[in-house]
Amino acid sequence: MTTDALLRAAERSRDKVEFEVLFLAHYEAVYRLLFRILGSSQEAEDLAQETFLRLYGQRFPQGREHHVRSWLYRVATNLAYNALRGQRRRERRQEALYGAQAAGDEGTDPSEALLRKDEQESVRHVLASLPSRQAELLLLRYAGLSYSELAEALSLAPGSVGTLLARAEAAFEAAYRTTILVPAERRKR
Amino acid sequence: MKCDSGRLRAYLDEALGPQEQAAVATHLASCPRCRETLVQLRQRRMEVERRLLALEEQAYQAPDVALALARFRARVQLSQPSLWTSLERRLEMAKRTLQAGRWRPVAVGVMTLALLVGLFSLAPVRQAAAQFLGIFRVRKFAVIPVDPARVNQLEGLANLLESGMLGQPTFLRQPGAPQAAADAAAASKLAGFTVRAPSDVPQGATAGPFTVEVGPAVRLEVDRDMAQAALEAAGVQGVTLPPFKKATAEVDVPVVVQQEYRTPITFLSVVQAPSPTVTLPPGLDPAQLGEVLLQVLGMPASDAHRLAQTIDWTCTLIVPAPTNVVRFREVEVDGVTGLFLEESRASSRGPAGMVTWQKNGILYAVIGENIALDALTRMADSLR
Repeated sequence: MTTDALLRAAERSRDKVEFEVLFLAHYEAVYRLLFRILGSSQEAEDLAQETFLRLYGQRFPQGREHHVRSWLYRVATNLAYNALRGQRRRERRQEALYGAQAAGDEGTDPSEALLRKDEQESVRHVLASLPSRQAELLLLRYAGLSYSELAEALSLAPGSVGTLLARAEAAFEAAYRTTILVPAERRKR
Repeated sequence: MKCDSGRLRAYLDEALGPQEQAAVATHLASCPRCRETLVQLRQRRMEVERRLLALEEQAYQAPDVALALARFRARVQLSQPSLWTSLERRLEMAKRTLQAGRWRPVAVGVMTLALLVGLFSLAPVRQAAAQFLGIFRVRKFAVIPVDPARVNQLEGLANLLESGMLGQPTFLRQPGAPQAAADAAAASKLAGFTVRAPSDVPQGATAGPFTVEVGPAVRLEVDRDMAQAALEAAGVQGVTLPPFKKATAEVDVPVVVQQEYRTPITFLSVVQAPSPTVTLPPGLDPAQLGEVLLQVLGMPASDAHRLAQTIDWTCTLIVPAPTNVVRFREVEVDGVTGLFLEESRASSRGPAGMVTWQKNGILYAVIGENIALDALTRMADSLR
């Protein structure tokens, strides 16, 4: 083996160690974010694996390695959003098949836990109804990304984050009111 | 200043620079419309936050990061069928598991094998070190504390080896697939030695079947210059290999038997295996090579020299223990002196520990999580 080959091997070896250091450093945060969005540990695990699979082999330009966190969050959020959309499509199909009966039954359960669960499902439902950029922006912001991290993760102009966030929040509230609160009130009557 | 709700939103999160924050504050003092907008924005932020926080209120259980990494490795390395690689992976997995502070079923079962085989494959220098030992069989253990800062270098070294830099090993015998045996008698038959089962197990524990796995026999030729270069490439500085040109080492892991016990809160694994052997050509002073090994593990040269003289290098297994992860001490078990290793960091799921010893040519390990040392040793003592 030549010196060049040796150096390349050494570099690959360092890359691998570095990747695993990243995995160990960020896995739990990514998993937690996914679990929060999806509410299922199995799905969170699957998508966390998928997120790191995409990181694997990804080369960050020199000096931008510290953007790994926002990169990971972005990919994870995007995967989670798509999963929520998929769930929503399935729900719609079911509703079409069985009518809205099931939804009405859920609301009458007095158990506090079920009510909370209901609220979580509502939030997911609303997120899935928003355009992906808005849903992802909200999720990433509430996962703790700073404005500059958000700009980096979603390729936004740093000065536009406030405007987009305000719009996304308005859209979220509006969707929440029309799709969740209004039908619930109707049910009461 | 123009009225701008986006800027107000950023102001609310204190995400503007200090000067801009101050400018917005000044503007707010004189602009009732913006003050009203700010109130709305704050109200909406609170509402959205409250709703999104509902997602936080699910029972969250921290993931097992080590297990996740093991799965990930299994996934990305599917394309590398080399069995040597798979052995390496097991070692890495065990080490990662140790580092992450978790010993999980998937890793503990192979941990002993990984430790034993891995020790000879971890560092090329270890191959070199071992080759002058004649036939090596484990009779004793020596735990060498390893500085956490050293662990990355050792891993770098292991990765270099895995990349085939020192040449591909030749398999003299391929490892076999795991075979299940219903009881100790059946396991003994498959394994070719007397497999023992514990009579004192934690209350309510259910026993799994015995798993019998034939290990590999591997030959590796080591080139000194390459090994020296690998050390330097991995950042292990100031260690010089003794002079030799090429040397051939053979590692043979005859068979490994494992059995699991579970209770709702505990996981236990009993591993037993005839000692692996390392066969090497006669050559240099074993202590000199052992000394190099100790230096590679991060020991200062003078300490390495002194300690190397006191170790019987034909039968002592060196167990590197990262000090931030593992605590260890000697224990009396099964009528002999064994070694107790436990993770030194607190973990949410209770402590994990391992008792390991050697008796009549067989290596034993009882590994458990969330279990006290005396329960581990009682179980070890009760092997029949």
